[in-house]
Amino acid sequence: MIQMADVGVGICGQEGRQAVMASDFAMGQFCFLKRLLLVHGHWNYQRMAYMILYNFYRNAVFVLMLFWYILHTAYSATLALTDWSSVFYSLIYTSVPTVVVGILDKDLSHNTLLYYPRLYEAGLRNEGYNMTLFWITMLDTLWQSLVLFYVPFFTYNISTMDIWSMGSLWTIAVVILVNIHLAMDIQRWVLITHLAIWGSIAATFLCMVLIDSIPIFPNYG
Amino acid sequence: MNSGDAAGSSSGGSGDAGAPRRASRKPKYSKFTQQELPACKPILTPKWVISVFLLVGVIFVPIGVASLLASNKVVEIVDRYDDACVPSNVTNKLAYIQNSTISKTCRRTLKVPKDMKQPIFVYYQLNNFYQNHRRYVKSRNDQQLRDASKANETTLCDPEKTRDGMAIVPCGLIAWSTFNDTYTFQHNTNNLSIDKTDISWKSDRDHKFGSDVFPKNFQKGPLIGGKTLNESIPLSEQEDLIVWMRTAALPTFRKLYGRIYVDLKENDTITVTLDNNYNTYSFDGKKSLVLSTSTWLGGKNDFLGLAYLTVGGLCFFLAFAFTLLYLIKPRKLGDNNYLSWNRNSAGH
Repeated sequence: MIQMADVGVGICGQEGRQAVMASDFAMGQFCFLKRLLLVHGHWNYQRMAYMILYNFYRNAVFVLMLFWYILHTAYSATLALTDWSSVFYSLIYTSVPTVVVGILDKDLSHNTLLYYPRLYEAGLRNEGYNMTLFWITMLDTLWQSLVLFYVPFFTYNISTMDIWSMGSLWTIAVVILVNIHLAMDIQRWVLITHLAIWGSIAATFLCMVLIDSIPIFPNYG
Repeated sequence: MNSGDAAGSSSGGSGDAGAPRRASRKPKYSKFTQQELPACKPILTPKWVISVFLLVGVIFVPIGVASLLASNKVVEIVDRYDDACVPSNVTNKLAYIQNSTISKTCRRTLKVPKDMKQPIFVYYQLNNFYQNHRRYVKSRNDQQLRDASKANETTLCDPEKTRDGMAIVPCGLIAWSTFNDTYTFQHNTNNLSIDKTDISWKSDRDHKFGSDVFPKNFQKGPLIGGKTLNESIPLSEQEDLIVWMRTAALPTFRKLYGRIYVDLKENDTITVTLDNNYNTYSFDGKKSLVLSTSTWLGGKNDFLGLAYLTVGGLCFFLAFAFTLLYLIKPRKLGDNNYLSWNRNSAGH
């Protein structure tokens, strides 16, 4: 029964731990079920739904921005960003805020959730992640990637701008954009969230300066 | 009895101490693990939304106006010469440009539209030239350019790697295709001198191109792609090469040719004597000569000013729209009628 259910909860106690081994969540007493479902279940759904949409957005905006550039390089797949910058994008520049918000963000306090049990129905009705929300996110991503690419493009179109400087501009623009998008959607700001978001932007500047100081890379100088 | 009582109580006491005390399995309390860290929960009320939009509008519109004013102050002369400098009786432009025996000197007359204050920057502009093509961008060897001892390093430089068994310095397609049109200027029949020093990045001259690396075996093949280099001048002083090798990001670009330190007045005539050597005819490219002043914003470009003005104007419009909405159809903060179980009175 535990394995057939959507979420299997086992009680570990006097009758042994077999139920615990087959379950998704294990707890000590029956009365904990109320908090598990109404408080942690709700938070889990809300965080998971937002994180999925945000991760689609974060990666797609980056890749689409690189794609629009290819249209202007005689379709030859040149990367304006340095190779290391594109690796670090997912690793250092934008991953820490994602993890921190996925762990710490709460839309409602546990007292509110326990007092109004019907708030749990938001998860049952797929209000956090559904087809409509997904396609709206994708359209938003398309729009943002176009702005991200074309504003520097038209600013520097007939000028002496070189390829690596443009790449640096696009890198810092996409990191700031993606982090501010996350900042606008965070519902509870904690000190760690501030450190993660503004710290990531500062870390991006630092990493770009470091990468540009290594003489063997083509973007040196 | 006392001793009996005492014995009883002590045995009772020892009985209590004898039963094993259940160790508490409760995890240690910390604000972080219980998710009770002090937090700030901003809520988008109409006051905040309207204030933020107004603030953004108030910041962006002046920046847009300042940028547009700066761009309008720039005086720019752009003269396309690749079609006009080919004699009208030539039908095969490609053969004409590749024929090294014909003289390619051409004279162009430019008129100064407004007063231009020195320093005036002289650029050459190329259209439809993809310096950002992947194979082209890779076609260089930075170690060879920097270090005289690494002269034989020619990896990635295909097809301009070696000639007659010896390595080409500097190797690669970027160096091979260096722009080689030259310009001399006359201002109202006086000669105008053009300063061709310090046109490249200082970091390129100091760290990327060695002062002990000399061109060798360069442009010796059957196909000459561009400029030939003086073999007695080290690479760190070949500024035209250094400027060209900083590959441009977009297919329409300008590169600095030199600077003029003379003021030009409105309606002056500038006569340009140019050598139309560079081949842009095989790929429909265009060549232009540009003389431009510059401001704190750079060259002539209205886009940034217009973009700031557009976004600022849009923010003002949105602030106005939200104010109207708030006045006409206000919604109470924390209105319980919008809760899902109060809204559908028919359903559950």
